[in-house]
Amino acid sequence: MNRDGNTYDAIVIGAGHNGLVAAARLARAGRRVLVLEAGEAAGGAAATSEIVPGYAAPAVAHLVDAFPKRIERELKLPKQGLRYAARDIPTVALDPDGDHLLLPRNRREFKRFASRLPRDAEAYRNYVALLRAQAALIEPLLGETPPDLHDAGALRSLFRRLVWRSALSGRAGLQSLMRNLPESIGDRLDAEFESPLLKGALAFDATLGGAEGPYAHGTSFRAVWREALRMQGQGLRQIAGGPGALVQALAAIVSAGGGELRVNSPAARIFVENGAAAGVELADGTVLRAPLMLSAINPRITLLDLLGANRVETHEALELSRAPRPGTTAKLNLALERMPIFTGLAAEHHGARLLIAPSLDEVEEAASSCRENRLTSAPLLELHLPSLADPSLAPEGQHILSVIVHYTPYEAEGGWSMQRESFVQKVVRRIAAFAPGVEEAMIAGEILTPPDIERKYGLAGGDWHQGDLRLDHLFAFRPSPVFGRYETPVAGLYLCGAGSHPGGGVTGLPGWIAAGVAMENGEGAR
Amino acid sequence: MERRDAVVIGAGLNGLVAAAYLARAGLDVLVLDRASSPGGIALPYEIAPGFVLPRYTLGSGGLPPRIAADLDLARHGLRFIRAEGSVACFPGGAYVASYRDGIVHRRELARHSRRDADAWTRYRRDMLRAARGLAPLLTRAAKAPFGGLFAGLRAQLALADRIAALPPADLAAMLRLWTMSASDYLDDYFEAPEIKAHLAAAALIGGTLGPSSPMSASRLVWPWLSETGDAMGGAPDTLMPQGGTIALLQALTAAVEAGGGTIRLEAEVTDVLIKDGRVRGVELANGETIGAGAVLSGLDVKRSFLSLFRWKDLPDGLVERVGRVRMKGVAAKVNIALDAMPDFPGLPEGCPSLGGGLRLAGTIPAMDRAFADWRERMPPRDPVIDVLIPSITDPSLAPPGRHVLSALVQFVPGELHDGTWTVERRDALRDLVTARLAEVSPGIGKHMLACEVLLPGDIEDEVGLTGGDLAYGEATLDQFFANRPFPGQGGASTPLRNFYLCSPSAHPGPFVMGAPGANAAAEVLTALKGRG
Amino acid sequence: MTPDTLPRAEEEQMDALHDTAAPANAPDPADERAEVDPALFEEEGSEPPFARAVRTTPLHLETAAESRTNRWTAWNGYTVPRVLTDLGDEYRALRGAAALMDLSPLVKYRISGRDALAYLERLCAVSVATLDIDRLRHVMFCEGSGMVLGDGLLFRLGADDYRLVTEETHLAWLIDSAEGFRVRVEDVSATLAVLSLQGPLSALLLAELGIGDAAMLEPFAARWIALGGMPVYASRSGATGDLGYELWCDAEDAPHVWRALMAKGAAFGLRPAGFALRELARLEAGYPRAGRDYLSAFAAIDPADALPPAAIWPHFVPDPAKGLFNGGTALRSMQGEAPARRLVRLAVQGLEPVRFAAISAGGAPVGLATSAGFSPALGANIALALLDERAVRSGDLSVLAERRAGLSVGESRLPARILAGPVFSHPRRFAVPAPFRP
Repeated sequence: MNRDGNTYDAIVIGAGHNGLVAAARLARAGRRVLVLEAGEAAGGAAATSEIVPGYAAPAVAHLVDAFPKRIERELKLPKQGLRYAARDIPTVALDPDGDHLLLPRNRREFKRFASRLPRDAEAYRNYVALLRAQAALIEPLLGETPPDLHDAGALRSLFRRLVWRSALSGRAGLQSLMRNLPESIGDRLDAEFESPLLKGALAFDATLGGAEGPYAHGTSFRAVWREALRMQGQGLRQIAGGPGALVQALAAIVSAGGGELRVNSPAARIFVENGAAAGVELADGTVLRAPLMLSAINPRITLLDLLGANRVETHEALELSRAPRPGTTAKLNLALERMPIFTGLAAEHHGARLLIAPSLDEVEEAASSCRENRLTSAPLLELHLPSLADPSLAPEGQHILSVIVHYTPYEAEGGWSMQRESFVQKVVRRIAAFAPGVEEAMIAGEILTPPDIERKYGLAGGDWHQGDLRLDHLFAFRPSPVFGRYETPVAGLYLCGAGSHPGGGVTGLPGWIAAGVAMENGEGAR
Repeated sequence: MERRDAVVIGAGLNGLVAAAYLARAGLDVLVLDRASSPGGIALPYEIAPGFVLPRYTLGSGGLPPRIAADLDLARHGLRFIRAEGSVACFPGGAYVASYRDGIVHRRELARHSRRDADAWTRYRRDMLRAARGLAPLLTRAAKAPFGGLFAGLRAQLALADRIAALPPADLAAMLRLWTMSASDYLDDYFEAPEIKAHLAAAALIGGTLGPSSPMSASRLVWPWLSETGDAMGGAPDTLMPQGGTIALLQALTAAVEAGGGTIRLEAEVTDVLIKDGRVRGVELANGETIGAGAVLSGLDVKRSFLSLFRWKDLPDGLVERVGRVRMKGVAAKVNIALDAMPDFPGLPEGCPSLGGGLRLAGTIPAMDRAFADWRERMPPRDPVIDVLIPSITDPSLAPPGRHVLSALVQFVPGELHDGTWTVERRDALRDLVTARLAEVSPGIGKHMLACEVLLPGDIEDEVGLTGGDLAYGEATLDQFFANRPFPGQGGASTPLRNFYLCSPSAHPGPFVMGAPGANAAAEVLTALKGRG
Repeated sequence: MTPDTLPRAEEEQMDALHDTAAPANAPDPADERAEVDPALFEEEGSEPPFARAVRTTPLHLETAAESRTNRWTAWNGYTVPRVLTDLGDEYRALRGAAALMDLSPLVKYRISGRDALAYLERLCAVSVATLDIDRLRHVMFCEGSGMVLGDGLLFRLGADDYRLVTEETHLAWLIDSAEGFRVRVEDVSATLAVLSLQGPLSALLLAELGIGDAAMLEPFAARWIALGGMPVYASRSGATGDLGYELWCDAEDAPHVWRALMAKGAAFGLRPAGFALRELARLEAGYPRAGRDYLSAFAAIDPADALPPAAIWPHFVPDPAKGLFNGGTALRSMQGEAPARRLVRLAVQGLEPVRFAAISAGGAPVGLATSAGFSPALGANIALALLDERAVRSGDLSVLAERRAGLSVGESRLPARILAGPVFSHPRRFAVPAPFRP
């Protein structure tokens, strides 16, 4: 095989964490891999960006909770310098009156939780146990290729396994799953709990990333799905150096295998020879060749724009051409000249994941504002102070506050250019209500609205999850029933992004599984 | 003590259907109703002398021909009239009509989009396939496959095998239909906003879902369950009883009596008698008790359990499970008597679809807003109004040349976020409805002889339907099939032995008239047969 | 309707109107959206859809003048004559001299643009890459499941300009399939009239009219000619199993073309004919008709009613040289399996009408006769029938026909046999008529 400068064993389009995980897995298997990135830097939604020089913040995602141990071990990521600044980070629901609520992780914390919310404690224990039992049913399916829908035998044995697992677990998991699956999280929580703060926090977690309000049917399932994804991971963690450090570690594996990463290199066309993928043509006309191609970018763009409509049948294209749903999550990074102090929050909990979602009504209110493209003055927030556990992110004594804003409309009433400032103000004012003085401590800030995320990271609609969690787009139905197993109509071309099973979040799983499928099929083998 | 084989509480349509089935099977049946005439929520009502319409329901749609044939209703004088689809009118004068005839219907769609006229073929196929798959499930009890340990496991394994054997395309189609929103689902077929809004609005009436709410797509199938829906290639039609609900009730009453059953009016059941965990009979308001081998309740699930029993008699947890069932009023009823046929200048003269109903709707985003208002318990600003002028198809319902107009105003909350429905707010709602009607029929105000508005709260107060929810409990997937009347309890039988639900609170809900009654009767008969 | 969508929709319609008003019909290369010909709406005016059950074709006045029977039938929403004079006379003219029929209700799409060929190659189940300009071929197209949606004639009018003529409408599928292609799809059904001139003397008649170059057309070829002073696109096609031509012209010109043909045609025994003759001729020639002999997969409520191409056209096999096409993956995986049911040609004893009659083999129901009629060429009742595969092989078929004697209706079983080929297929259809060979 001619190994000139433009021929590789494999090409991965998109240097997000899924693309890089796929590339690293191939590199570890001895392949020379080229990773193409349209943007200026690798990382996609999981990067570290500088607000102003000296202040580094997680660009979009700030914590990882679903990155599997298996991937970390097999890629030997710690050898590449992957470190965690904090592990098993707790979640605290902030109370407007300063009586904050720590979601318990162990018996000791549960005791405190029970004394704080005596009427909800038992219900919470049962809720978490049932949620885990339900999640445990689907969890094993998340780490593997979805079953072939055309193989009735495989499906049958899969379903039977599910039934047995449910029967043996003794928690009637399947039965309750079938009942909860179509339910709304709001109804489920209303029936179980009394504390508005607890309900608000649990509803926040279940609805984050989607546009549906807490009373929309099917949102209860999102809580189960998220729990199952978490079971793949190793608890809530903070990567030292920000998520960008994970990206760098993955990129290092690729170069160690003789491969490379090219930024500012948008792919324009995937070309096919003898019915198999043969390479990529870049926007500048450069031709790069490889017998194996994986695309971590949007499946629709991969198949219809890069590969071409004449390589996809009409019904397949129609499945993909449904309009993407716009993302509803914004990101705000603040550089602070001093440590923000949250009223009533214990010092050891300042490094926790802090939720501002005081009640289910406020969650519903924020969702309906978002539906009407209004910017609410009571935004729902997830806050994290990465610089507390990882002082390298900011100059000494100074801090970074990383803020995720839930239910941010893609189109703001009056236009984002007009609303940007007031949006930032609303968010900061909201934080200041819990941490007085935060405005004065602000040195600089960076705001990413859903359209900004779309522009900056090339994610259609600014949706982090590439086709959000819809019940009809899961497992082998993601992104559509025809492409549900990473394969495409063209031999040697695979999908490996969050648009494929098991979807969004910093899990690396779509990339990991897709690379496995590609190697198993023997394509790209010398 | 008087003793009967079966006692039915409530002489509504479903109660009478159940009673007629039981009487036909030779049981000694007694139907009890607190009102002075049968009908329940379908109560026929004279708004002005000679003007008759159902007081609380819209009144379109009829009994499935299967039930009419089973009960031999033709012999009791019941005739059906076929009504064409319906018309949706949009602000600005655009309208979409539905026709039974496929060629005419497609030509109508082509006025909005030539492409969509062709897409109709595929939409119709997928709707009919779904309806055919669904139909057998509606006429039998939906039992959850979660019985005893081994039986449950066996049933679950069998279900797993059945699902695995489905072709992938069917599996995908099923998933999409039961999980998607109506608006997303319709986007896969049509491009014209009016066509999508027309179909979505028809599917949403009476439900607690907006067109963009997840899982609302499955409601699109219900109109297609009509047994003759596929006859001519166009939109499904509806069969209306000639003589309206009165005629239907008369025929059902006659069928009950022909089988030897009795209907006793002005007899309110206050208690269901329970002994050793078994239901033994009922007690009336006058203190009289009647023993019964089976008691069928035509009341909604909440009233059935929470007001007919002493809570301590009920099995543990039942009160909570029933309490969790979502029942919320979504619609107000407006009844109007007209001294002449209103003129609809925006519609073609003689449009036959008008007989099937007129819908004043907005686009899908407008309906979403109306739905959001309801969720926030605000008085409606831009409601979807379903209008039926039953006297077009059936002139016997009003004096010659005159008409009755029945309207269901969708997305009207029972309780407001900031207080109650004051007289001013009621008047504002009436004015809003008449103003919307006047937009499509400018002179209609002059023709009104009488007009009244019934809010969900009024419906609850007058007939005792919890929340004024005409669907008898939100009909979403988590409250359907094996989860209707409440989770884990599918079908007409209840955790109480000998006590059955025959109202739309039980499977298959409000979608197929008479089916809950027929299913309940079938379950009673099966149970009796089992006992020998 | 939201205020911001209304003006845009109107604007687009206005633009479209300007497009068609322009004399040059060349597609605007800048406009690559699939779109619809709005002329149809103008024709319908403000009349509500239910008011007039059927519309008239551009040749309605001509055919109405010829009608001696006043028997009309609805075809694709248009009214067309069923029989103009007498089916026997019309048939004798077709087989012995020439017959003229109005086929304007056929559905016609114009497909143009840079990607037209790639688009059609993906759309159709047969290869169209080799189709030259001024040639046509029979094509069929399938759903993703490999089941047939429709079939028709594909004409190549120019380098990137095609016309697809079908029995039923397929606009939604054609537009949906255009996603990602620089192609424009227009429904030109209402503006394009079709006259079908069929029969052994049709070439001589064209020559007599001074258009010998049309008579010289080879089968499946087409060219522009002038007829009655009007520009006409003439093609060697017709589905009658014999020599014949189809003449495609502007709706407004069609009456002149008709009159020119009728004026000269009398001397050749030319007769105008109706829909019944078209049905009989295609039945004798053994051609199935979409919507009657098979259902489009989109219309098949019962999945068993959807058929793969091999069930309708027995010689169909997916072309191995052809790349990806709609339904291709499914069809290639099905290859080698015999379809469960297929369409066969039957000869039925007796004279009772057998249309939509049930067919049984050894007493068990095995299929349905979809089209049927008395074939003078065979001297027997013939039918197209959809039969279970095992019945095709077993033989011993009988058709359950209604027998009417006076007022009583009885049923009789008529023995039937499967025919190997079409009842009527004259060698003339494969050649240029002798006097016009170069």
